[in-house]
Amino acid sequence: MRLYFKYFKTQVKANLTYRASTVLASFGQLLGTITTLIGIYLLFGKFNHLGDYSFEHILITYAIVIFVFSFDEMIFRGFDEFEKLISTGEMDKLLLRPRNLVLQICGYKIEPMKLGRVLFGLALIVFACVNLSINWTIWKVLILFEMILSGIITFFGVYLFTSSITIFTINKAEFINIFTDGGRELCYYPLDIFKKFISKLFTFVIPFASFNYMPLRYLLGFGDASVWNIIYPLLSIVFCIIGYIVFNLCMKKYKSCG
Amino acid sequence: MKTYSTIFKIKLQEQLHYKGSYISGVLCQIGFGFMHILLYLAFFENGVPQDFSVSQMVTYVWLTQAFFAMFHYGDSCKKHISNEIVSGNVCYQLIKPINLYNLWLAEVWFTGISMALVRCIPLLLFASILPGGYGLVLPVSILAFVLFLLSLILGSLLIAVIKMFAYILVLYTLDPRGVFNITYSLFGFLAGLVIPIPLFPSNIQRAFDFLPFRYVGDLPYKIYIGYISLPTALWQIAIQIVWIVSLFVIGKLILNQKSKELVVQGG
Repeated sequence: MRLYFKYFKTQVKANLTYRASTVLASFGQLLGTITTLIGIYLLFGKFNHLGDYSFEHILITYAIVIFVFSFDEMIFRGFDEFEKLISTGEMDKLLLRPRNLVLQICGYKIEPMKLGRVLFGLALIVFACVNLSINWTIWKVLILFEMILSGIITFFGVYLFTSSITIFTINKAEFINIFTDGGRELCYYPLDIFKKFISKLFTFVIPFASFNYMPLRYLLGFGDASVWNIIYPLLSIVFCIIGYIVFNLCMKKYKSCG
Repeated sequence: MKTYSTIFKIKLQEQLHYKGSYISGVLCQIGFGFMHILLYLAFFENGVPQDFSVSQMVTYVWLTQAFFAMFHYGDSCKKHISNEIVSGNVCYQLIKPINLYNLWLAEVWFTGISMALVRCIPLLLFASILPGGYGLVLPVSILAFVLFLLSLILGSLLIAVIKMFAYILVLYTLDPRGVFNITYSLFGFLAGLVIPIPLFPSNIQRAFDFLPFRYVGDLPYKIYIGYISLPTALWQIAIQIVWIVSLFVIGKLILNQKSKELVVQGG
């Protein structure tokens, strides 16, 4: 852990050297997020509600996915750009070091530039919670934390799987983006508003539902929500562990190309 | 004229060169098309808007995805021009017997066209064979199709003229990163890439009529799906041309002025 923080500090310092440019680039990334949110707001202006949900409810799912995705992108950037590690041969260097490989890849590249979006996501979560007309109890706050944590874990798991593929393809297999970026965009909304096959896919194959409609329905106190809805997010941990095992297995087959 | 046709050829070849990014680009666009259609279908369950039927919506989404690339700056074009500015090589361009604005505009426009051209063909083919109401439908009439093509080509020129302002801005800021990110998000939203213009509340749609962005993609797609009548289409194409000409003149004036007082970067 200490090692990771050291990596983090170095990268922050490196970025702060070019301050104006960092601020401008952060704002640029933020703007895309904001325009999407305005778009959703305007859609609700036209349609009032979406399935069982109102704009206040979508705000929660949107805020959480923005936060967890940007958080993972900032913290685990090394995995996000895994193909660079492989194709430049940097990977060999990491393999030689007597430290945990996954940790090293995480610390390989950290982008504080994403901090703008992370903070924006966090502010949005707070704003969405205040706007939500439910009675906040300690229990419900815990569920909210569960959603955020399982979101972070799920996307990390996704990184582990995509990186496993990259070990063999060397180049980034861009079609995976449909599952990662596409999945993220779907998660702006509670997944159960979509056609059955979509919500099934992201509930039982990739557990995006773990920080999405499953706990959300419980949080909002919808009639059909049961204890199963708050146990389900634990699936993200299982998903991540499988990802970790698969990644390590694939790493055994790794051939250097530096 | 020969200069420009050569630039066009180079840009088209560039696109066909990067097969990997081309195929993945098309696949991503198809994925996003599906996603948007599913989302709007979910919204439509509360009641379909009177002026925008399901099949019109589906076709509109596919057209947006097919010609999405014309909004992109294009990595190679973006890098090429901004490197010229940041490294100071722009002074060599100024020596050439061709106006700097025209040269850059040609590069920007042709990049947009060739990126959209190579991507739209597989996507439109795929979208038109999709069954079950998820597919692209034919244009409302042959005349509408002709006007669609005309306004689409004009639209690609219009977005190129708009993009030129971002490049001119880089001449002032000398840092391309933020400028391209910010303008891309902004143009995309105002042009209806985030959500289709017909799904905006009506007062905002009226406001968009007074901005140039709607005339890039929204106008041709509306003509294709028969959202607007042909006389209205002709009238709006005229507005489109007025926008192109006025933005072209303003951009050219600014750049010509700026290139006179240009402080060249680098040694």
